[in-house]
Amino acid sequence: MQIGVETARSVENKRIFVVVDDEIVRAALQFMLHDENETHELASLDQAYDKGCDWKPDLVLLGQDIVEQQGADVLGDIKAKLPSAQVVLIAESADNPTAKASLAAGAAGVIPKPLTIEGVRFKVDVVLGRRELPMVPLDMLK
Amino acid sequence: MSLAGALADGDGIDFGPLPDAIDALLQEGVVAYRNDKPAADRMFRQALEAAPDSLPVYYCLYKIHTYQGSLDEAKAIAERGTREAARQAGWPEAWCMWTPQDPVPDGAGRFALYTLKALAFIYLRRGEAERARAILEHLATLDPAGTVGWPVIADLADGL
Repeated sequence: MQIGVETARSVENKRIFVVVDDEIVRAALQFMLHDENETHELASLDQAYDKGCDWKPDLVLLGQDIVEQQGADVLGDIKAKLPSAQVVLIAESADNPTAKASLAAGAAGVIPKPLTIEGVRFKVDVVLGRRELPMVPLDMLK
Repeated sequence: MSLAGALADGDGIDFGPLPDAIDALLQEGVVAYRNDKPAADRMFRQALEAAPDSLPVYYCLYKIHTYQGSLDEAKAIAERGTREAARQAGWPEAWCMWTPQDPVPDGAGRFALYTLKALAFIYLRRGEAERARAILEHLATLDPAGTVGWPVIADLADGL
């Protein structure tokens, strides 16, 4: 059994919206996540809001470009329009100003590039309540 | 930006140190997989043929075949990947002969554990629950903290 995590929570299917304007990044995140999550690729927040009317997301993976275009206040907009969702920023680096502003505005976390398989899956699992374990780097599956 | 340019900029998955040509095949396969699964399979197999010692290639292949329900293929590739990772780690070929290490290894050893976990999931999907449980019980000794994520598969097995 997974330490500190209830069985139902650890295997429950979750819905993730990948809202990133870069197709390559969307494809990478989809590839890494869609076996354990219902993962939807969306190119804009408008698409996410539209889809979220009928399909409530548990998590929004949000591209840094969108925050830079719309400002950190967009985190509040997402919370208002997609209240079921937590938001994690896909950032160019962990310590850049946009990442810090997003965390201050309510983002649940930051996934910095480069996107590694185990790093992305670990962060998503933690935010979704599936894991509480310390991260150990996976060199071969970076 | 073109697809090739974007991939060259490193916006895809960081698979770790790989020959450039192999990394390019994997990145292109990841993108192709959304709309052209046979093309993705071809790219990943091309990468495997060219670089059978590149462990992430096994990951890509068993992952897409598991998704698609091609479980015989997924099993064969995961088993082969497990053997190759064990060879690189200097471990016995048979996973049941692997012994715990402290700390849990990085590199090829970690890939071996990670892929063994995947193999347990594939066995579950194939309806071979006892074989899956045997792997999971051994993973519990090899990775007591569950760092490769095997407890999630154990939860699935317990729910059957």
